[in-house]
Amino acid sequence: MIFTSIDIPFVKKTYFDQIRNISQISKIITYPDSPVNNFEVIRRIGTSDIITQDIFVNINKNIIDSSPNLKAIFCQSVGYDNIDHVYAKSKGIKVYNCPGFNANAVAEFAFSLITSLFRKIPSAQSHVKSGGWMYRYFEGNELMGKTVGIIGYGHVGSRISQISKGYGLKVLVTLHDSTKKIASNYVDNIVSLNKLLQKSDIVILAVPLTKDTLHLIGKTEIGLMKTTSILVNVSRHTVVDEYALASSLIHHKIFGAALDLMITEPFNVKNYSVEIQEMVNLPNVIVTPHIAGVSKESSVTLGNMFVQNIKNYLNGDLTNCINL
Amino acid sequence: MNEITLLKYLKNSRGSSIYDIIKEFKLSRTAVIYHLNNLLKSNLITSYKQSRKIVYIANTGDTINDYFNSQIKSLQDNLKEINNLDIVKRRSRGQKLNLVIPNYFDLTLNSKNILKKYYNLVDYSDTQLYLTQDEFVNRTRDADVILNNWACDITADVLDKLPNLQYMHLSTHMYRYVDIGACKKHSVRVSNIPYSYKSIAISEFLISQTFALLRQTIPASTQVQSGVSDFRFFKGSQLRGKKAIIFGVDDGTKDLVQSLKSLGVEVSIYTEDKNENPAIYGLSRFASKFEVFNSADLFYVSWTGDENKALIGKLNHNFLDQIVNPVYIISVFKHKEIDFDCIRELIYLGKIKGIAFDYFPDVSIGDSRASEVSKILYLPNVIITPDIAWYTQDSVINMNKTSVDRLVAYAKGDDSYLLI
Repeated sequence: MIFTSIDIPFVKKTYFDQIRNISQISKIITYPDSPVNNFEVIRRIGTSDIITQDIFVNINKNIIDSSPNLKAIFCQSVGYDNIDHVYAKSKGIKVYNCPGFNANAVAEFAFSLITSLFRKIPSAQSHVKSGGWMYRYFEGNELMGKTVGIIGYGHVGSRISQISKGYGLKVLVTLHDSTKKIASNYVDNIVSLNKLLQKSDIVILAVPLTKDTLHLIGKTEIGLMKTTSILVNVSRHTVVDEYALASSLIHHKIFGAALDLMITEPFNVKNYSVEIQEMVNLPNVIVTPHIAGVSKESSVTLGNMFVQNIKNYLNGDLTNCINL
Repeated sequence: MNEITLLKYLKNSRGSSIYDIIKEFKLSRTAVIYHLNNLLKSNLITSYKQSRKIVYIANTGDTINDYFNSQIKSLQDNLKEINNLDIVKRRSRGQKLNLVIPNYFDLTLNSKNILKKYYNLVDYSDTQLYLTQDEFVNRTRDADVILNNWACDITADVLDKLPNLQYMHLSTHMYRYVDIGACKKHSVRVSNIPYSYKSIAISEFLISQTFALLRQTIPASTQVQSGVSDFRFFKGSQLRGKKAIIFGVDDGTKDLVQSLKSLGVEVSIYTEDKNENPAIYGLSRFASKFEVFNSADLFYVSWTGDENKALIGKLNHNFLDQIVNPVYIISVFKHKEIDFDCIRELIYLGKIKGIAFDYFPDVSIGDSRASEVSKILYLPNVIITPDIAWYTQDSVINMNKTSVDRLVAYAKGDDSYLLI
């Protein structure tokens, strides 16, 4: 089989060396840069049997139709919203992802954002660098005793709830399937989305991007939140209506926000509206460049899972296949 | 407890260790060491090493007899003076004492109204935080009682100019800015507030600093604000599974151990006091020196205020040169010894992966060292914050409540919480 990485590999080279050693793989093709358009994507796929790509490369219907030999797509990520997996399934193409490899990294990063916001660390650091030394400007908030509302309870949501309990937080969870039960010592109550928004001091989004979660949090939902609350998004950016969020923050409808992703990625703030630029520069807003899941430890887990997915596929094992 | 009592105890016990004294008098370690040092300086006691511990024993002879006689005379004189003090007569006539709040202090209106029931209140609490000693004296000249929010250093010279002062409440836990010996000589009672008012704020802040260092949150957000967005610069490290060493024990150590363990961190404590019990902190043993410098990922540096310790609380060459395994160093204390030049060099060499301090030396503009010391602020994984580890809404509420409670208690004649 021919295996092609049509984008700069996210996993380390050592994992590709492991793939090279798999007997069913006759050839590996890699590229040192990202494809600039769909034509380039189609050209790079060529006659490959299995491919891998970055989350920014869309594998749509047109590309699938133009790749007659394609049999499987391996994501180097949890998310697969860049792939038309429904159409892929109709063509008999398997799509594999790497679920949960970075759950701890994302959960810990969510708390890095929360604690940095609550304790005003970025602005305090900036104040010191500019020569200041006045603690009075940076009165913080403690987490102990507050309520965290977690939207979504997969690998990331469950790890967030565990960490929350360590901080003495009350944990509310809302699920897409309201009939689902969670047997966990780390969850106090399962509630509706609206109730979660009304009751929580910290709202964390940990959901995959689907048609149901697109703009899940918009102007109406932000309007339900407490004025002292913060919103933390470690899901895909389009789960939040960022223009509505920008307006809410500028008008002090909520206390603050932390986003690990922005409207499009790679994100250049200078290309966006005045409101978005203003939001990104507010002292009570932290925006980071999609690094929640990026850690040395999760890279190792990802690499191992990625190689194992390929081995599983070649052995007929459908573990981690998302379009069965 | 006063020093005569301690001296008597050491005389009767024929030698005791710091641990024995703490157990007997139920005092903090800092207070015991303070009193022992005073007695050592006056040649009233001697210390020696007995197996692995240091034992203190009262001297014999004329020196100690003279001391006891002079203390008895002093107490008798003080009693006469107290009976003559106009302020005591004022209290017995139902008149209020003058309470001065000389500097910035976050008191609610309700708290001020409570204090006004017991005191004539002179309130500068909406002015600046830091005062010169002259400004302090000008504001508190007629004070019987002062609520001091660390306005300035309180020395013997300052106390000389406050003839009416009988009690000073400190709104802080730490009190090394107050010359306690001078307060005693001037018959000024002193109280502080217990560490518990800020224990949650401190332990949460230490964890937040750790996350910010490990995940490079601040430089990542700065990058986005500057118009760039590239995740590849910020491959962080997870906290779970890391090994943390806490140097020294203090009032907040237990909270920190619990918080780190709940996050999946392997925690150990390094202490130089053999009488400490690891079980108090939920541990089976303390860490060895080899272990801490060769295998730890995170250092949390406590301040015990004990100058006799070799490594605890000091970030000097002696400490830093022993680092083998690259570490992050996190501290919220104002250590007396921090070698910033050495730290900077070790950051360049990769021996220190990052630091997060809530303190920075007060280097004046015009001081030739200022630019050298300040260089560290601009290194990539250095977080310096302006003494905000304790500063949360909850800790301010706790601090104010405790301060008001202690002032009211003093006005009612309760002195059970006084330091001296």
